[in-house]
Amino acid sequence: LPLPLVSRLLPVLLLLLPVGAFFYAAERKSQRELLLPGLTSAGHHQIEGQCERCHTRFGGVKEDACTDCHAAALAAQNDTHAPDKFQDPGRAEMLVHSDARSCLSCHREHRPEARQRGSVSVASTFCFPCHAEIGQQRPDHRTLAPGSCADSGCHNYHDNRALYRDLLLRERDVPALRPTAGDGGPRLPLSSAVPLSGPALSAQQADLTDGVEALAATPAWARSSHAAGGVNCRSCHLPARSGSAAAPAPSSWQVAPATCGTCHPVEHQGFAASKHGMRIAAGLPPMQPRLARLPMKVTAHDATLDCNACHRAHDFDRQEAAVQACEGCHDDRHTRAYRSSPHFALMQGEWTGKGEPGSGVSCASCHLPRRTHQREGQRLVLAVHNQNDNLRPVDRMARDVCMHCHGLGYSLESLADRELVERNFIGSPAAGIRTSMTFVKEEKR
Amino acid sequence: MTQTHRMRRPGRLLAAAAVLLAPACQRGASSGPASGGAAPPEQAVADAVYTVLSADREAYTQEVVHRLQNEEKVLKAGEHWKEEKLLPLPAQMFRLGADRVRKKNTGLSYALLSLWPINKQNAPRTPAEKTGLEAVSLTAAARWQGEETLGGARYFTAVYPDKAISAACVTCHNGHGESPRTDFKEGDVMGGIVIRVAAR
Repeated sequence: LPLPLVSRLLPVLLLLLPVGAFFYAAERKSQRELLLPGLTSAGHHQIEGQCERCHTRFGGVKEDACTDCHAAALAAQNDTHAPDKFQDPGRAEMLVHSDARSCLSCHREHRPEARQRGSVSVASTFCFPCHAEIGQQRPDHRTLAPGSCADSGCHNYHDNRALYRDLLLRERDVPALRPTAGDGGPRLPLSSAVPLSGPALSAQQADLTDGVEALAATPAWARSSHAAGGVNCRSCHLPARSGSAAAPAPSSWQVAPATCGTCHPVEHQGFAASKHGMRIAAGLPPMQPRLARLPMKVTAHDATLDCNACHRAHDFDRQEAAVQACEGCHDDRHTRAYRSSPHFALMQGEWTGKGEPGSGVSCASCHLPRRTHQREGQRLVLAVHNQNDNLRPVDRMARDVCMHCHGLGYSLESLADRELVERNFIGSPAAGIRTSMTFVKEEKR
Repeated sequence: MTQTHRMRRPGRLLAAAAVLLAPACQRGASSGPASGGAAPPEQAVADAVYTVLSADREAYTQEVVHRLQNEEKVLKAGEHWKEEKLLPLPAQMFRLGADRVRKKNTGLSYALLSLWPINKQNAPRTPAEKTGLEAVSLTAAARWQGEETLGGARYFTAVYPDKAISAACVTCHNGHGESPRTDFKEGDVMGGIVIRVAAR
């Protein structure tokens, strides 16, 4: 080529090279983390390589990207600021401050500054333009800082199920430790027995006996609740069920969470929405502790988080799943302090038979709380397997869990005391913590 | 920042319903700025919608809430009906419907507002809402109507009185700690139903 032509084309080629490299990397669908414009939020970092989950082909954000995953939870929370409330033309003026019809107005992704604030990327004073007259309506709010509305124990933008006035008034005089009902019933709800699939089965009735793995697992299976409930080997080990009588290939012995979900749909739904299961739900390889942002034990870094990570394959042990399974991976101060806490002392009491059923508090009691669900016309108490569900905002846990044993005021103060949370509730909340209950208690009766 | 509400013109079905129902509405009872001359077609739509809304609201208040809570005393209604497993209050029932209608983006929307709201977010915001509510609440007008431009879109806006139709309405509002007015009597106008139709 003539030299003048080369010199003309060179800048164009140099310009196209990075653009081409970008699109090549995007199409490869691997190591896309290199393309991220900034730190992904704590809620999304596990799926940050799956750009197309939220983005259009050319980088915009899909209209339903947020609601595809979060709509059901927001509806269950009775969202105080649901977007459709702001479709009212009479509220158009409010939208000048912040377009409350769009999640993206407050939750901008890939913003490192939002990392410590639950992925909220607007200033903490954002409530004020629409609620500027609060001082006139509530004189006791006049001295509060404009950015303190969403402090723990006060108001939440979406979920205020534990913070409304009638509940606060009702709980005003309830002491730190709630008096028992005196009926001998459990303080914390106990899980229901899952309905049986059929008559109990013995080891001789196992329908998969070909191979060393099958023979080794049969005694444990025969002692399990699965055998007692009529669930045979092939119900879970799908390749054998769908095809030949021969044992599945070694890699197929692993049971996918979706298989467990055929009989445990509520648990599977929660797992798929959780930090533990969201990668599988997104079609990615299972979560591994080494990918987590929270401190995890080095020895657990390469574990894979499917159902069997907490529930052993055949020797199901709820006690192990409720405490030891969590401790096996998590290595933060809150977890390490648990065995010194009054909650663990109560749990030990229940395990050793000194305490009543439902009197102990395990990791699962708070993070996988029991709730009542309707399943095929039956009312069942089942563990919520989305351990994030009551964590943000943290006072959601007050109503979900703490209030079974404690007054709402004490619960809100405890959850607002970050140091007390770190100590796993060893001790009492620090003096001077103000919550919604403080204002209710200060009112004239 | 200019906001635009994505709303379409009312559909043909809605217009047809308006024509059928319009004779039953309060034609000629308007007191707002649009009372002179030929009535705009949006007025017939608003009147028809008001007829349906007020009938549903009255039926729910009297046949469900008042009957079950005050007469038969078998169920209670309350503000936190989801959390407490109660019946929604009549105003909440009304707003549940309003939320669903807004989601459909038909060009029609409605709201229940008051000069004396328990929840301050239900106070009038726009000049038309304020004028309309004052007209139906303070001067006993049967309807106020006007046009307004909100978020870059034009609307025909009508405001109708919302009266205390049962003792339950009066008892609840007069006894609520957050209520700015506590001397309501049965038959008093407690607020207004604001109906907006996207203008042609």
